[in-house]
Amino acid sequence: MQASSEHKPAIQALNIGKQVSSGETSLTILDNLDVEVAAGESLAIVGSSGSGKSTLLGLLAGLDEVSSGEIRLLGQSLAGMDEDDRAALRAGRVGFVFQSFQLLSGLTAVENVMLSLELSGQPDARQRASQALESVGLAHRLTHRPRQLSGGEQQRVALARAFAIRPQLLFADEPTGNLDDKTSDSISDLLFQMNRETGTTLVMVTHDRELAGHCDRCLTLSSGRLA
Amino acid sequence: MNSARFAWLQLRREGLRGDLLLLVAAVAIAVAAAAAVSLFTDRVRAAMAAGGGEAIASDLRLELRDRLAPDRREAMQAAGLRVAETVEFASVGIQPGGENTALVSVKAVEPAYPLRGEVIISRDAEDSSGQTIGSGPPAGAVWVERRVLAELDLRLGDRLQLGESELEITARLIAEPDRGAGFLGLAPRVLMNLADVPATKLLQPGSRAEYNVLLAGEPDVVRSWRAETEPTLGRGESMESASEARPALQRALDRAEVFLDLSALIAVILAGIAIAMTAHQHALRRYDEIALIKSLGARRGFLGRMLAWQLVMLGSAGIVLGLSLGWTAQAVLSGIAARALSLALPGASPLSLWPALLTGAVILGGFAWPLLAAARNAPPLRVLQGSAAGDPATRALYPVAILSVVGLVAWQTGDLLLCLYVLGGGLLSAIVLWAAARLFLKGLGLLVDRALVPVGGWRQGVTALLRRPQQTSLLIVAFGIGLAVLFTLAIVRTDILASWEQSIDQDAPNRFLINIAPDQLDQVERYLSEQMNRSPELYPMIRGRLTQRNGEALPNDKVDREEAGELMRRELNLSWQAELKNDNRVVTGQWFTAEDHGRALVSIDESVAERLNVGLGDSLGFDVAGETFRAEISSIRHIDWDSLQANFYLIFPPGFLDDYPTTWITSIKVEPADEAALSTLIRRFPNISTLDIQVILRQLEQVIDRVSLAVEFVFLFTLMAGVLVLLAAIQTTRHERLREAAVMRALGARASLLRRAALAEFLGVGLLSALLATLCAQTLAVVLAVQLLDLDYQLRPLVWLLAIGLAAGSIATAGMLGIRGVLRQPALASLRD
Repeated sequence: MQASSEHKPAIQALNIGKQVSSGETSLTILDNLDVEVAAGESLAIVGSSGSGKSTLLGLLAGLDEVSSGEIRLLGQSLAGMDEDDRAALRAGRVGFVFQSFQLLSGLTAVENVMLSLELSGQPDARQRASQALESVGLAHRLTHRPRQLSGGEQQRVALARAFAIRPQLLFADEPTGNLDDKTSDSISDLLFQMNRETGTTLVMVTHDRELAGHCDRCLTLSSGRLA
Repeated sequence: MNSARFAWLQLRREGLRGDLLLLVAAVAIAVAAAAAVSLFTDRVRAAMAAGGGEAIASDLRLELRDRLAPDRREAMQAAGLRVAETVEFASVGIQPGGENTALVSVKAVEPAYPLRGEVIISRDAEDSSGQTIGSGPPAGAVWVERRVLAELDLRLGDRLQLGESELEITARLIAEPDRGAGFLGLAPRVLMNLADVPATKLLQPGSRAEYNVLLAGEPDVVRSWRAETEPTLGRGESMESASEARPALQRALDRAEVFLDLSALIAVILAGIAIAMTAHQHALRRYDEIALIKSLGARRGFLGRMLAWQLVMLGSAGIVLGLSLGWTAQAVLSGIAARALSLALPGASPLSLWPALLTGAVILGGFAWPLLAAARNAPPLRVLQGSAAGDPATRALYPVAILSVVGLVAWQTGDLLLCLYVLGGGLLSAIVLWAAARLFLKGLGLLVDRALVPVGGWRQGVTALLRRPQQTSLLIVAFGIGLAVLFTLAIVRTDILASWEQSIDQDAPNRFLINIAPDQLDQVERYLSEQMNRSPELYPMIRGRLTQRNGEALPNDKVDREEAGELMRRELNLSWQAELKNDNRVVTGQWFTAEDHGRALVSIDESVAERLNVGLGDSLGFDVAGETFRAEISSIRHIDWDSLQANFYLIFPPGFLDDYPTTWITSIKVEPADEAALSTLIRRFPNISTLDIQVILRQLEQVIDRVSLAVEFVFLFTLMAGVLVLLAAIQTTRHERLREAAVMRALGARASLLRRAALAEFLGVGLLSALLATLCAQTLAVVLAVQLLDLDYQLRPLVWLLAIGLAAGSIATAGMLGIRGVLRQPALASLRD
């Protein structure tokens, strides 16, 4: 954690709500939440299935729009931004780790990592991608495609992709949800180690209380509200 | 529940999703291409031969060297045969008292003509349907085609001068059962009574004319008479029955038909690929559902029937759509081709649609069913294990699809050897294009690796091409084949025809004067020199047949006749010359010296040498006016036919052919101002005919142009099928593309970057296929122009850039339309997968 940035929140969510309507009925998924995440902090969001964890993560990352309230991401309000503006805000600053890895099947490991570097217009993409894969212990797997990798290896590639751009913010959605216990331990160790090394702000959704315990803070959601 | 009802309910619930819509469209395109071609060719065939024996207006046609001798006629009649003689020759029709002349193709017939079929005439200038009549014109009357009336500014009831006679035009000729084609066939017809021919004085000894005797009778009588008589035929006489008569146009049309069928077949095969891709998608989607239904207790047989019903329902929609599209397309095709072929096409018959129906059924069975049938095997365990329990097998597709393609090709070509050639050629082209596509992709990969492609949307697009190399190559092959053929035909129609026209010297002769009698030589030369200020060279022309090669009779089997072509079938024009003409060049051997005069030597054209497979020192046997002789080949010449001067395949030294009936020929350039003088010459010597070379060239050009255009039109279906393959490819990878788009959006890609990436990808496919197609077409065009036609061919890079741009632009547009839903994928979807 970097003391200098503590007073500057990376994320501020004020009074946010999310409703979806299906026909004439409207369903409230999140209701009047206030969330603030300081720069460099790690925050776990836990809760049972259907409690709105992933929805909250999507809103905080700017992947979706709130129905009410306001979110400020890296100091900028998302209000009034369209999908493209929000994408531009994320590019090169926000990393993701998904439960289902979300590697592009036609690309090799190194190309998957290069993707995020190229999208943020960073130079020497191949070299930096190779280094990132080395740092997650996959130096020998650079040219393998996702289907040739085990689940744990795929998630390591995803971690390399997330950290290669040196993101200010990392969102992780059930990062160990698809892995067995042993692999899941090694991935979580790696995630927190890299997080420490880079000083990245981490927002993570998980079922896993133990994983959540590694974070600086833990929010519990129940039926769209903070418990 | 009944399987058909269940199938219908499921389809209805699903609505016409993208992949189902594509399946219907692909079936429709395949069926439309097949229907357009089969309807069109059936109409042409019906027009060509409205009934079996009518193609020769009899049961048996005997070709003679001269008129039929009375004793032979009596023998024929005694055997129980009906007999009608005909004589065909080219002549000049003259407007009596006017200035107009026109080359006409005269057929003089006896009143009994035709023995089979009917002549259609009209006694009213406006009536185009006419009346059928079972005989030829009475003595003193002629029936002429509309073009004769137009060119000579004559009306029904006027008189037409032919040679030294004037005959009354009593009807307009609409159709005759044995209308041939070829050189004479291009000129409009004048049908006259055979009894009127002598008075015209048009037929002199040695004049070019075809003498035929038409025979008809009971099949047994005809057969036994033929068996008895054929061995006794004299030299230069031959017999053919209706089934053997294959006039040149019929042969050309047979070939054109195979070509059109194969063009349609390429569209069908591409559509088949699109069908297989969409059927696979459909099967994949059904797989989980079928596993679930099975776990609930449905049997395999029920599911198989349900899938079959769904295929029948979707296929029927496609077939009905295709048949109506094909019906419209054949009208366009007929419009393009009919005028050039001078054919009045009968209406299209719905019966001609069955090949298209069968084609639709075969591709559905061959390309879609194996994949759908595999979906029946979905393991019920899939409900628990998901895709770990296995995906539907696709291997069943290949043997069935290949068998369907082979079957369709064999059926369309109707010839095992041709079928093998077509399959081999098609496979080879596909392999070459595939290899070239892979090579291009490798090159692109190197560029990307060396960071020579700038980072951003374009680079993402290029890597998208590289990510799916199989699919990219398939698309390049699909578009490459269609575009290559279209480009080649476009070059033939425009560039090559234009180069050919330009290569013809502006001062080249535009008229031949033929049939000049020896005693008219001096007068004609003097007239041309004094009245028209021309002093062209005149060449002797002797009609003869080629009968032997190195002392052996030339084989009369069909294959060899094709190879030796018209050389053997027709009487040839032989000539003698002392000096080598300046548009001739001796390739091998030596031109005649003074000592050679009178010796049995012959100089032949190189194409003759090739077709007869003979060389220097070989001997050829001839039959001229019933006398035979042999001559040794002393030189082989190359003739520059573009000079448009009178030229001869076979030339003898002076003094050798002196005793044979000879007419003379020359060619002159006639300016508009000379027409009147030429008319006067023809009036003074009515036996002389003029041939307008420009008219013949223009007609030839028009035929080439129209036939190419017709084939190009059919290839539009191939391009449409190519677009369907593209859309099916997008559909197949839709899920993957959606995921990619969502992940890229999450990682910060703007919509414009995704659009640029997609544009780069489809432009890449378009550019690569158009570039390869251009290379193929240009190579073919250069070979055709330089090697075969001896033309200076100018490469036209600007035109090609435009063509490549247009093709790539269209393909990219189709791709962008196909992918537009994907580009709108929100980033949030990456969390929900």
